Amino acid sequence: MSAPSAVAVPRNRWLDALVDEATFDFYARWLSPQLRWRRVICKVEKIVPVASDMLAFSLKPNRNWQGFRPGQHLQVYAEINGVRHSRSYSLTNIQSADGQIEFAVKQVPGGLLSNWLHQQVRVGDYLEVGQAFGDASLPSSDPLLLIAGGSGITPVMSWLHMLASEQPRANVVLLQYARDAATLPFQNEIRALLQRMPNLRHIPLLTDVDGKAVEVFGAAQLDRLVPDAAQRAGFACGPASLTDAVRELWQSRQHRLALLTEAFTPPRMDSGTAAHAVTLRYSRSGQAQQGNSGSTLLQQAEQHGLKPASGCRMGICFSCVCKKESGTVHNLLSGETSAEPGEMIRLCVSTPVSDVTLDL
Amino acid sequence: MPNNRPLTPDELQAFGAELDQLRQHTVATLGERDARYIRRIRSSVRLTELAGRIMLFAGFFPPTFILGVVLLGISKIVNNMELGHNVMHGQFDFMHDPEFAGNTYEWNHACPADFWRYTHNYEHHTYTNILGKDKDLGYGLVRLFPEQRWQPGFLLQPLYALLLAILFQYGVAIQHLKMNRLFNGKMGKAEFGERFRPFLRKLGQVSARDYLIFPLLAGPHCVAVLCGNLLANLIRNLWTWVIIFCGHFTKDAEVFPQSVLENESRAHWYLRQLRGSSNLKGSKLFHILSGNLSHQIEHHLFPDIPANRYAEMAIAVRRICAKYGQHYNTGRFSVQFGSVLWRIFRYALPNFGATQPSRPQPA
Repeated sequence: MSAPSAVAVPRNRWLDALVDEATFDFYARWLSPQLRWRRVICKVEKIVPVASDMLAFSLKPNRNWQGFRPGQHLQVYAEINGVRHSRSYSLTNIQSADGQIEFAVKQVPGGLLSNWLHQQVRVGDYLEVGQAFGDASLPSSDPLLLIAGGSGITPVMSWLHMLASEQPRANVVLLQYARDAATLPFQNEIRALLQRMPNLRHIPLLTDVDGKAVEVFGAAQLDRLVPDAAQRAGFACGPASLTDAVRELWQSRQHRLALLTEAFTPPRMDSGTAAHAVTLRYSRSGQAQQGNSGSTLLQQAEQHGLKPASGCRMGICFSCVCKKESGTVHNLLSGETSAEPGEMIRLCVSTPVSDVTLDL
Repeated sequence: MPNNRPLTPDELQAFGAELDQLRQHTVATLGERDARYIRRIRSSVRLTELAGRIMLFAGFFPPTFILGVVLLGISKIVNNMELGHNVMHGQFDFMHDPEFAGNTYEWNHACPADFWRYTHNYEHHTYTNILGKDKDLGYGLVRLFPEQRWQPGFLLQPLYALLLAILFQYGVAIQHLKMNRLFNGKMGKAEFGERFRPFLRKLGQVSARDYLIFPLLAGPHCVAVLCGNLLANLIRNLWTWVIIFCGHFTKDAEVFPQSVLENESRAHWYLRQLRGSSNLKGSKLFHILSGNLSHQIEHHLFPDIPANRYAEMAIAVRRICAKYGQHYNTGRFSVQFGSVLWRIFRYALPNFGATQPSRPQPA
């Protein structure tokens, strides 16, 4: 996965001497609210509820937006009480002539940005976003099995729109999990897609009926609903509990075909090994603090009173990238351990293995 | 000599703890208000620059020319002091806004921001008023304290000080070149070249803007724009020199030997910052124009806290100083600057065998 990259703007020495990006942006916003040198400012055109706890936003970006591919994410920025925050959301539509981009946001209890987006943003407001990033692309082979849990449906919607326009006869099974009927997202949109895709089978599954766990993903359920699952290219997206279960089943059955999984919740800590104490040094603020190997450097830096920039907190958005000056860290996503001095690491998915010095 | 009560180790720890507490209390309340403040400062810098440059485009017509020079001068002063200096300290890093990120910010000044982050943020703020360590102590040209060794060259220092004031932005910029190390052979030509290139690039950029591009854009009024820009830079240089010299070289400011650095605790560090810094009394506008360096004491105790908080923190700092019997060095601008001028003239001359005032080390 690649970081959201800054656009290379052709630079001119004489122009630079006269005006820099901040100066240009300062005056440009008086001319037009969306005019900027490099930043992507979007106008909110439409806000539609797609589940009881989910809103879909349609935005019109400015000309700095470089487009996207189905399955990519974008960073959404918001300034809340003077502090700029960001979270990444999956794009749910495909590129169209009107240039609109869409993403959907599930309201998370206590979630800073999701609550702000749900409560504060109105049609006609302006939102800043980053360029699309990420390279989760759909397995190209037909037929497909798409497994989505909760807000994991969002990149799947983008792929379904792509299939509907490019290969409407594609053979696709969509297993869609949600807690209950009210929180099952995008039902109207999926009905419209079913009209256009004769070989799309949609199986909504509710995991929580009257407080009892029913219809949870499992081997028996899969065999009953999708007997030909082994012949399909699979993709699972959703909470780590779902994607882990799918991955384990695929591994135990040694299914030939590719399985892509994407978690929408932070990776779980490996509880197999006991955490040990380490010393964390923050060179910029001149502090040394007692830490441990059991939680991420982001969590620990925050506990130690620092305020490093952060975004998705699950290794997707690269907002928390920081220089590690020395020490060994474990990457929770890749499982790799690295000791290289001066490397750039994502604090939110890195745990210290030894004493670590960070440029914070 | 300021009257400072010697502190017992326990008292010193308590003194440091109270300042730490004040810091934590302030950091916990940073937010919207501070973000709005720095954006207003940013906007006023840009709009005064725009207005000043437009006025100068009208030529030598006195009302517009004088107003243009003053507006452009004010813009440069606020750009350097309240905006650039404070942002580069990381005071507004809490916003996570790339426009106000301390480690990438660049200002309208001949000194490359990266040089400044080293010589000012690191050297000056870490080694404040330590003889031989804090290069801001007279900038290697001026002797200000009897503890500094006298040489015959200092006899002419009132003249050097004036030249430094007139050319202050260049003086600040060449500080990081460490030319004395080149001359005495401690620095190779290659290393000097690596320092010299970014300096030259930045110098070219700011000079091209003020002395080439804007004059050319003004067409028939190019001479007026050139002179106006020259005067605006002069105003900025003189003013920043005055404010910075008032920060550490007033009558009651103290200097320290390098030995104080041995096992210096955080509380000791606070005490040294307090005794080495001096404040200026004034109106709100005066504080903004001085980049809140009129609250030099608070700035040196808490260099990474937004400067717009110093006025309210000063009340608590004064109370803490009174409680622990520590002198809080503040005064009217005329009195403080007068004492700086006195030092420049007095210490041009040797100490005349007078017993050196014995300066107690902090605690």
